[in-house]
Amino acid sequence: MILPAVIYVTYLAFYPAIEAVYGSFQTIRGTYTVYNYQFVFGTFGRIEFPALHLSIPTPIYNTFVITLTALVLQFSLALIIASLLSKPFKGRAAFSALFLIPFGVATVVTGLIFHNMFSTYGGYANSFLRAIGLRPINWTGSYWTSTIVLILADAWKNTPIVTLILLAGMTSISPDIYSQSMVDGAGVFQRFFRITLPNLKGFIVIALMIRGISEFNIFAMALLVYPYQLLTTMTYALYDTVNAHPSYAAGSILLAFVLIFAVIIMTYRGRYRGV
Amino acid sequence: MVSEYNNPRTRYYIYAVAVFVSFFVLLPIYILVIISFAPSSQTIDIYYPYLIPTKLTLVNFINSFRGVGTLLEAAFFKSLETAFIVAALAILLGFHAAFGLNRLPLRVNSTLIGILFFSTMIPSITIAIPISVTFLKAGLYDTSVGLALAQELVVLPLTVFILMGTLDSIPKQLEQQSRVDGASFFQTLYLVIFPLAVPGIVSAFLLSWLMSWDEFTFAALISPVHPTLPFLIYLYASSRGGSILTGASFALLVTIPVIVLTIILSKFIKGGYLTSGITG
Amino acid sequence: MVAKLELVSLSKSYGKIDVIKNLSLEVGAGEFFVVLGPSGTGKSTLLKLIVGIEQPDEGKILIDGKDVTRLPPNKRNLAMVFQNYALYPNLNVYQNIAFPLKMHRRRNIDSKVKKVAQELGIEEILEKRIQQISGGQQQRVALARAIVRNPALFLLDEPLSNLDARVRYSARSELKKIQEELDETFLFVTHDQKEAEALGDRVGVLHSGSFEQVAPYRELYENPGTQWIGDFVGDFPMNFIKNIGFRPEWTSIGDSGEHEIMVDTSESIGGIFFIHGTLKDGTSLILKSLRRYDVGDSVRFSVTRSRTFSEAP
Repeated sequence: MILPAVIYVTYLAFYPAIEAVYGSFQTIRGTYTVYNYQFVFGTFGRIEFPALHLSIPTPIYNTFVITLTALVLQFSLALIIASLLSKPFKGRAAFSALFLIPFGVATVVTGLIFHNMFSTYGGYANSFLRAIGLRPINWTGSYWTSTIVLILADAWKNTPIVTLILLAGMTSISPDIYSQSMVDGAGVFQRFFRITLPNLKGFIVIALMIRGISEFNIFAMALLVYPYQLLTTMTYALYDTVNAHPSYAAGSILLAFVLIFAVIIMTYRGRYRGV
Repeated sequence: MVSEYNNPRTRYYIYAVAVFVSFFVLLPIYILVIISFAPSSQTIDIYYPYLIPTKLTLVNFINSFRGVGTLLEAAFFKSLETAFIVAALAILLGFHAAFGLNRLPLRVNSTLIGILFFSTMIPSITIAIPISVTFLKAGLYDTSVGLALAQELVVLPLTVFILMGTLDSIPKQLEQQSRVDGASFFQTLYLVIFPLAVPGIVSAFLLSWLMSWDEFTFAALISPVHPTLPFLIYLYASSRGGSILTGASFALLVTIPVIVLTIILSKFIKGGYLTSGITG
Repeated sequence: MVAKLELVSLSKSYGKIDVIKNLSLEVGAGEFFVVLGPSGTGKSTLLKLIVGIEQPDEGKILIDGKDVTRLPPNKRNLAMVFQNYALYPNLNVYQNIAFPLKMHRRRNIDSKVKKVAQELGIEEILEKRIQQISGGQQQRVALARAIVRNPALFLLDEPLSNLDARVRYSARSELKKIQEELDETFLFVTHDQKEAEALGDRVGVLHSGSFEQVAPYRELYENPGTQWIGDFVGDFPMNFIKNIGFRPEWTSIGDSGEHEIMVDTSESIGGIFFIHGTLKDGTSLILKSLRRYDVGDSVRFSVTRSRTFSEAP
């Protein structure tokens, strides 16, 4: 009974993945080569770190920066919103429906909106800056402002899902523990760091896994609002049905990064469980 | 509950944060609405668009549909068709898989769950390209069925987790009772278990549906010629000029029903569903 | 259709734990047989084996002489009432009772359902949802569902334990009446001695995977086969002085008694006192008494009736 599902994912997920990795070492004539990788690394430039004697291909560097900043931002926001939703207050029902709205807005629609908000011509962010007397910013013109726009758009769309997971964790903590700790004299911050966070660990790891992998795979949003290359957009840019091999190489690098990330998280989860 | 909520200062914080968050949640929606409904001379055609437009119009909508109404219609039905195939297939495969997984010994079961979970980690874009090449040969390229088969990969593991949680909450005795009452294994599965799992099935169906409706990567690579709505909107949004208005109008049309659906069904969309299968 | 049930050397283990060990039993046609045992002694596993939800590692199960050991539950022609009744919550009362008939493709479903509903006095609630009816009514619906298809054997897994005390007594006597009227074979599992006493033609006491003793309840009480039975059966465990066992009421209190105890506590049950005390050597005993004694009193008594066990306590 389970077999159809397992055969399905094996045939349509694992087999093509292996095909991609295998194909990444092949030329169009079927001979073996590492040229695809050289091509991928050579095409989109490198970021130099002279102090560390390190130079990293730009798409890889960008992917890392986006993933890390996006995760930090989303988890901070989600923690705040989840702790809000775990408390009873008037209007909570309305708020808990409202904060879910971005969940129902398609990624590409979100991208479209943020693209418009931050464009130089006809952009609302600059309108707002001018209204409060500040200088407009060329958002898509520089690396850091582009990054900010992308992680904001991504956070808007995806914070609700992180919030839901963390909220599930918070509601699983017995209120008695809070009452007890209050009796024992713990303040708001002590309660947060001594009770909420440790009890949330498992849920945070799960959310980190789900979101982290999606951040590595951020694609539609980046196509719309991010003028630089990520591993995904690079794979797409190299996509060509006639010679798919360079894009196989790019895709394989992405796959490798996702798997390394997953292994790190799993290891951490395992260690946490063992304690 | 003994708590600090009686403290008026804490309550101020709560409301301040709630209002702040609500503002930022609604702001992009507001901008989508004004781009769609205000004249372009107040939105995209000037350097600094009006934060609050002084005039509303339906011209953008009318122009959008006059120009590319049939294209939108085709994309709409393609998205709809694909999403329904994805959701139906997710339930068909997921229900059986979840039932089986719940009854297997723990060791086998965690291996199979591992395989399912692992499959979700494989980046869509990495496998989309080999799949598109295969589908070209198989005649599935650019079809709803082909796209649905690919999108199913994203949806299926999640569906299995949700349904495992649901099926686990149905008392085993009902299943045993049904067998004693003379029902065969499959009669038990479809006449007793399935009706009882309906709430979980509904939420799994909706989530699968929404995820397919939203899916972009496979859509871009496997069905670019006759696009689904997300890819069509992308095509408009990424080009400058008047067509962004078309993109925005389409986007609004696509978004409003889904937001309404999300809010109505928010009780079905729970974080617990995502975690139940994984934490177990 | 009344059938006898035979279990021949059944064994079942989960991993290293032997839950059922070489268990044999014969239940006669039309007998009300009670399986009595504390929790964790394999009662529910035994039921699962008979029903066919689980397969025994060894041994045979025969219903009316026919070997059903390897048959699936739906081919065994028996009915079961679970502790929580396992009523299908998505079906109403009528549909619940009709379910087994539909599954067995029987004819005249409607008249059969109505007939059994009338017999059990639930014809008024046939159209109600399961959630709308009381615990007692649920129990009757579960029973009706079992009776309606006229099975060879009825299995009941603590069906009274979910009822509140008052309903439980009436349900108990009613169950006995139904069984006598039907004249069918019932296998009833419980941990409640009062139920075993009130219902069972014979009672099998399950102890670590097999029957310690099979006998009418009276016999178990008066003439326990082993010390364990003496200890387990009865409101109070049997008293032991060395290997001589006696019930609290098998004593007479008087100054000329041969034994002497110091009173630790005394409890009153319906105007009769049960004195918990200790012999000089530290053995704890319980005596039945018509008057009250205070803590620290010394009481002399004689044993008027006893049973000698071969093994030492």
